[in-house]
Amino acid sequence: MVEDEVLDRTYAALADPTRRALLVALRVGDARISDLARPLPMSFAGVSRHVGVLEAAGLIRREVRGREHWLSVQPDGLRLAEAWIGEQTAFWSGRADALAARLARRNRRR
Amino acid sequence: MTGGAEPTTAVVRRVLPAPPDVVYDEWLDAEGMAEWMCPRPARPTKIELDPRVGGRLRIDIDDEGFALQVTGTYLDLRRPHQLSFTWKCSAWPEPDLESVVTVVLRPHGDDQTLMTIRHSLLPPEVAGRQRQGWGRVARQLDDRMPTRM
Repeated sequence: MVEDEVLDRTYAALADPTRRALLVALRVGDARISDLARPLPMSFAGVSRHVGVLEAAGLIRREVRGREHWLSVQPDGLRLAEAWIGEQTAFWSGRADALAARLARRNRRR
Repeated sequence: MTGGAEPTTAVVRRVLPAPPDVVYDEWLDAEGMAEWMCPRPARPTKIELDPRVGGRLRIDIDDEGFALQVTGTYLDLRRPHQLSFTWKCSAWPEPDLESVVTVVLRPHGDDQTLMTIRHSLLPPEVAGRQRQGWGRVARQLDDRMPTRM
């Protein structure tokens, strides 16, 4: 996959509050879909669909142990998205400083 | 994940030494923007702003001989407290990637402003609806990006 497709998938996956909640839940440790579904007001099938989206985006990994499917977070999947956010944050931080400096100069002129 | 509940958004906050209406006008002043929008040594060669909902913005930049453009469309203009616009950059790995910049300005102390800049990738489901009208997109963005402090 080229970089922009990875970003698209990552952001599409993260754009949903349920999927973000699933990622947060998995940070505590590996879990089965039934474990993830229990605290959510959602069917097993519904959670399973969200898990599929996260899996396709490379944000979680599924491992078959015996008859059970265990899910774990793949932090590398967030790397590109984080890099994008980091770049934009640095850019706007610099612009905010430059605007503050311009306004300060303007105040001094008055 | 970075940013807790909002992993898809870059957020920058700054207190500025001017009231919100003055800061707001800076965002729409092409001449003034030339002074603060480009990280040196890059410099803007041309800035065109058409600040009305649906109007275009374009910033041509010369980054040490490398020409790039930022283009976008105004989604929401509410002087003096909020403006938002889309943002594409020709130098990004995906130059057609749509993102949204929302600037929220709140009074802060005497004649100061707390400025919050939120820069988010345009969620795919919103991007797909763009042709159905900017007003509707702007409302969806309002729902999606509440102006929390």
